[in-house]
Amino acid sequence: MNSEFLAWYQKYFVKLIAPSIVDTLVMLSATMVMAIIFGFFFGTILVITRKNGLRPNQPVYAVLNFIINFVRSFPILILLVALLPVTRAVVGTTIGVKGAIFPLTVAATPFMARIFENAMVEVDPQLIEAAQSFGASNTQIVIKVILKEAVPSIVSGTILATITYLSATTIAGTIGAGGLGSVAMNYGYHRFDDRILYTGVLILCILVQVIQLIGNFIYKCVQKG
Amino acid sequence: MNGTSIRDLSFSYENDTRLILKDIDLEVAAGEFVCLLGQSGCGKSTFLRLLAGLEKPTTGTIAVDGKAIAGAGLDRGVVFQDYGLFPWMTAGDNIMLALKQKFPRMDKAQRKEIALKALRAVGLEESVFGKLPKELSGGMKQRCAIAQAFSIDPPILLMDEPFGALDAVTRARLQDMVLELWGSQQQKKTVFFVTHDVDEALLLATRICVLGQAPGRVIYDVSIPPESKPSRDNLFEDTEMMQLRNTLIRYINRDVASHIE
Ligand SMILES: Nc1ncnc2c1ncn2[C@@H]1O[C@H](COP(=O)(O)OP(=O)(O)OP(=O)(O)O)[C@@H](O)[C@H]1O
Ligand SMILES: [Mg+2]
Repeated sequence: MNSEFLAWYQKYFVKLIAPSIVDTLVMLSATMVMAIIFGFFFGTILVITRKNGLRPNQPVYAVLNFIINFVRSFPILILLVALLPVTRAVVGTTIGVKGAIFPLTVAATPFMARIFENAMVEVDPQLIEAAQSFGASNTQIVIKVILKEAVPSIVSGTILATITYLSATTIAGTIGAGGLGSVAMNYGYHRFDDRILYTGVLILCILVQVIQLIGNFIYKCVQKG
Repeated sequence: MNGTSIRDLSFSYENDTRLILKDIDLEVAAGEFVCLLGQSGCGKSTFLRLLAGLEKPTTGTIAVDGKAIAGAGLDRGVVFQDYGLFPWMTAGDNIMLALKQKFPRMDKAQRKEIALKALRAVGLEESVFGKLPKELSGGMKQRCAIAQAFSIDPPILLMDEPFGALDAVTRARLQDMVLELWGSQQQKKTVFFVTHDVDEALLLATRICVLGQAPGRVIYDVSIPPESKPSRDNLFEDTEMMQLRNTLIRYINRDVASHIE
């Protein structure tokens, strides 16, 4: 290997790109974990309160439904920018990995809520009735029947969301979040260093493939059940 | 006990103004075996869903032992028209889950024993215990669902065309089994049994109700005292039963004629 490449590798890959991969993965996993938790919470409320749900409640459903649609109607970049003051107030900073997790979670939560809702709504109502006729409580029905039956759809939806929000982290990178997106943008695009730009792109491609592979594997496992 | 009284029951599904059931008044004593007959779509399943507590009456009340029912409960076992087994559990686990709900303190070995016994009673091999619903045929699934309902031994049993997917031999066998289960106990179960088959109704029922079409209401209600109940062999020789059979068929078809006109 020639020394020019080695020098580049030392300077940019080891010191810049590699840590940015870690930043990206930290942002992405923190965002997804939070989005799954909150998405599950809101998605469950949607399923329970919707018409024909376990406990229909039109006002609650309508309000939550509206908020989710409202947040989802923002293009991701606009949402991140619009949230800047809120982010500053909540986490104290708008830059770096720390500053990115909050707005990304806000963006990803409604998406995950819909994924949970859609997956859980598809559950055969007869299974829910069968559980009711055994005297199962609503909590038992949600956890042991609806969630259980919805797991494969939830997994495939979560893979979709993870890949979507991987690209969202790179968009966040362009406005100060750090990670692969910001390296590719600031060191690659703005400084005309194609090597950095395309290395970043290549790594993102690999990440997408890996996420999909892991996701497919999990999907296969849960489907057997 | 478990006598059931249905008063002025009317029902329409939400977001649908059409009245599905209208002014149903039915007093069913404990231990009666009630067969519900009627055209497809007349509201038999809906009526059973109301009894199960899965739907709420639009007007009127349903009471068991004088207490209005509030939702579904373990005192009323349901065999659905299309099974209702959890697809991620084996047939055996499905039955054991129901048992666990009914008898939280029963130990696993005992539950397993009851589940196996119930499977044998509906003519299934023990290997079915470890199979997932998707690995079973329609008729086998239906028999598992029946085994499940029977194993928890509810005082009131609601069955919606439970033998619809079965061949004649299995069907006859299960009819006998249902009769035996219903009649053998000290305290007879109250059974509501929906069927399209008039002969099945004659064979099983101590009381037959025919529901009319749109809206569903009881247009014919007849009791068959236990002493004049036919057996499978003499059903078609019993002139009284044959007369009743004709009457029932006439009533079932009556509303159709007026619909066609
Ligand atoms: N969930 C529902 N929402 C609205 N209407 C319904 C619903 N379920 C059934 N219906 C209507 O109620 C009527 C009665 O249906 P039901 O299933 O009770 O009939 P059925 O007598 O059991 O028929 P079958 O013999 O074919 O099983 C039908 O006209 C049907 O279209
Ligand atoms: Mg029906």
